[in-house]
Amino acid sequence: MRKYKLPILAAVAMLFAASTILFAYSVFTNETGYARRYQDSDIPFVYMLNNITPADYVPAIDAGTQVWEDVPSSYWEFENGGFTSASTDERDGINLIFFDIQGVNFTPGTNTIAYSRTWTSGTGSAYHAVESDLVWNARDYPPSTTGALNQQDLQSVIAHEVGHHLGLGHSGPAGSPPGVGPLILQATMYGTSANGDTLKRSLHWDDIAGVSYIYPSWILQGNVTDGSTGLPFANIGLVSDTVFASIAGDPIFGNNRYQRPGYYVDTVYTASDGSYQATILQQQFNLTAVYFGYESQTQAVAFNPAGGIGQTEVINLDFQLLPNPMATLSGTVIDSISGAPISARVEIFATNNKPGIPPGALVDTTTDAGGNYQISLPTVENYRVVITPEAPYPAVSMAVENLPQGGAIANFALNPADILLVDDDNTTDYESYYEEALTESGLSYHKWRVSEEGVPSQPIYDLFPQPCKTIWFTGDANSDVLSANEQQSLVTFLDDGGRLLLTGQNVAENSTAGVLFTDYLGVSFNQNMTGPIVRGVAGDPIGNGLLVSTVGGAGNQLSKDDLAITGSSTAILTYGTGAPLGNAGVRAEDYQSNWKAVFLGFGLEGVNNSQGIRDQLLQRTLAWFDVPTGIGDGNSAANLPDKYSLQQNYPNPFNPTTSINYQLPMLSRVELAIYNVLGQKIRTLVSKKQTAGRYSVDWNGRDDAGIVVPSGIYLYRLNAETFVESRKMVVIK
Amino acid sequence: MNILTTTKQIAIIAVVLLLFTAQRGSSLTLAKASVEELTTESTLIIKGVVHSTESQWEDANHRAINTYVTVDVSRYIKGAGESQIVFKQKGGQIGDTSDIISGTPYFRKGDEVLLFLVESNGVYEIHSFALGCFRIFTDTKFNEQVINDLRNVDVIDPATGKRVSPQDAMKPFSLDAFIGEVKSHVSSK
Repeated sequence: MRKYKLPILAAVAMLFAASTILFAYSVFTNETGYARRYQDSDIPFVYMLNNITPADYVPAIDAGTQVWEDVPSSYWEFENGGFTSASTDERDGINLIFFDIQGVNFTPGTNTIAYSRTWTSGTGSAYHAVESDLVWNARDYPPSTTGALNQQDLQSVIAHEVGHHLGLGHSGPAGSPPGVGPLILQATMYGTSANGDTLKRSLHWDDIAGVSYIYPSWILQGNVTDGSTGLPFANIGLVSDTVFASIAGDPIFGNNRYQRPGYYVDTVYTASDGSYQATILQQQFNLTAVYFGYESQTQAVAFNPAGGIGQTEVINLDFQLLPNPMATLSGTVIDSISGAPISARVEIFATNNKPGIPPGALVDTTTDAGGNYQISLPTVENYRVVITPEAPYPAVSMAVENLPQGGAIANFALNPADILLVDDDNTTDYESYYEEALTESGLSYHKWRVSEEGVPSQPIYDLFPQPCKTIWFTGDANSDVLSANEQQSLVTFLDDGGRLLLTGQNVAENSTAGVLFTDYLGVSFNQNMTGPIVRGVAGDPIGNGLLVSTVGGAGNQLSKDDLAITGSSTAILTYGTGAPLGNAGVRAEDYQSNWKAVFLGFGLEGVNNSQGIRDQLLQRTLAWFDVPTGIGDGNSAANLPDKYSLQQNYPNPFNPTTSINYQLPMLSRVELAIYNVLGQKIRTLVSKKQTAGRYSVDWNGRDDAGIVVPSGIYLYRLNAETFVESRKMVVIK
Repeated sequence: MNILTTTKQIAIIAVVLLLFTAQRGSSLTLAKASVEELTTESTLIIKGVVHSTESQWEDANHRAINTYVTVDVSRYIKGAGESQIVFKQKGGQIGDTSDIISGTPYFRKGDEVLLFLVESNGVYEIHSFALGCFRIFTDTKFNEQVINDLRNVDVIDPATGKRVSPQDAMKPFSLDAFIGEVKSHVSSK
């Protein structure tokens, strides 16, 4: 008797598939889920052929049954019992295979080609099959023994039909019609086959798994205990380098029978009492007990060659696992320039794919006053340290793999984030769209959750590199979207020279109109817009050439705002594809206070980014923020400053050069100088009388002696007549 | 206007989904037939509601089980008869013994059906086990539809020799249009 060996490629394919459960073969059951199997005393399954069966059919019929006997991991056997005069499908103790060439069982004109009839008995776990007949209308639909393309192939038909007899349903995903993929399509028990299909004469590994589950040659079982306590180890994973066969789920009713889907897994889990059991498809393999925090243990398994009918070899294999030693994972979170300790939330996640890892973080703690953390963790495992620091620093993470017994150090030296990302979408989670866009743009960000941390105050904004760039999004909020406090926060922020991107579909519609809208953004709500297309205004530094779709992003843009321009703002985006239907976005700036703002009447999260448009819109906005205010407006007499001001240097932090802008309303004696943090003047940039106007002075990071100054914080001070103002800047190397 | 309750709508949708998604199980293999062929070859075509089902041993030898299905007939589309009609199916369950003919439709009291019946040895049977069994349901737009209940049946198109996909074999039709087509074939004979 030829026996199958699980093909190497098949085993590899199964392992790939086994990382998740792969539904495949199915097993007939009763309503309580017990397989419809023949009792061992009824095996071999003796089939008999009606004595008018054409002689050339017999070898094909025998070959079709033989394939099921050649499975080493199953003890199922067929036997040809010879010929019989029985010609009906009654329960007569004969498992009849009848190719009815005279049509005894088929009325003339019937469209019935074939049917099978199975008798069952018993309930619950005693449910079993007692007889199966197959009757084929060979009068009207004769099969082919040669693979003729216009007929069903006899050997394939028999292999398939007797697979049903032994208890298998069709291969495929539970509850779905056929069509689960190329591998299962090749299974003998797949639901359909075309005329002339001879591929199903041979079993696929999916068929092998099915018959092995019902009539197993090999079963592995045992117990797993915790070596440190002696207690049973529940829910521990036993991972093999082969796969196990099993069935799962509730019985599925389909007309007159139930079925349960089979599946493969490379891991079997212990029950609450620490026991496990698995149906084995391969004679020899390795099995590894795995649990987070415990030393993995591998044992070789070798079954004997398959025995006879009803012979299931059961191997008991126990595991006793010892916990891995503990080690310390520690580190410090500091400012990269000043070295000052940073207060941060520290979360440790286990990154192994192992049983025993709880959902969420293993450890959730904070740094101490010195910015230090120290955590005791099991060695050998892999971890990710996630640092969520205070403003203005960005969240960062670091992988620590195979934690050694000597411990590991994960230090973090952080720069202030490029962007303050204000999450004002209440409990929804649209921040990921912004985080992805910022990461794609190479920018770091600090996320500020309004729902947890309240409205950011001016000291918070002041922590960020100046001018502070803030992105404020509101998601699906539709009631008091931007509260009075929030509007006041942003007014103060802008007055201090901030850069603001405000985006949300209900911001203008559902916020109490205040000076933020009237005097800064220069807009009011006009109407809701439902169309998905937003077009950039030609020639605008942000909108030019953009075609934005609000379908395909977060999918939440149901109430976009049309912004009526009431002040000095400029449209950058309009609704519609043709003539503008309304304003979708505006920009505004003030060179005296040096603020800039972009306001979108829709949520940036809703923009379809398949062509990178969301990223592009964000990048253009941030690039426009970087252009000093007033550029292009000129210093014409009609547009001279009406007050003194000193703007934030740009870029900041910088290396090696930065620009400082200031303005004078009248002829003034001016001194612009640089000071270190000790208050010592190190460089004088301007010391003379200047007429009214706007000025820009570069500083190359050198002192009056021409020596490059060290990294750190410096002050620059403008003294013009009675006007005195200082600002901070950071030199980096 | 017949307004269905939400619960009933959900139940109807569930029935339709079940019809489309049920796992195909074992082999009853049938050759596809046109509505005209079914109409011509059937003795009776009825629309009605299943009244009851009863499984019986075929004889004292207990070698076969048949199930007799009684239908309250609301309309004879072909032929004529009483307000109730009984037809026979092979297979059934008596006690803990089951006689399973793969692919045979399963009926429960209250099922709305449209059946093509043939007479065999003095009793009615469904044309080709399942080919003459149509289920009636109401779709989400409250239109009555019929669907050929060919779950667990392999259907072969005799013209091409290829298997017919379940989606094609069990494509729903408007009940009124379907009856109209059937009647056109009845009246043309």
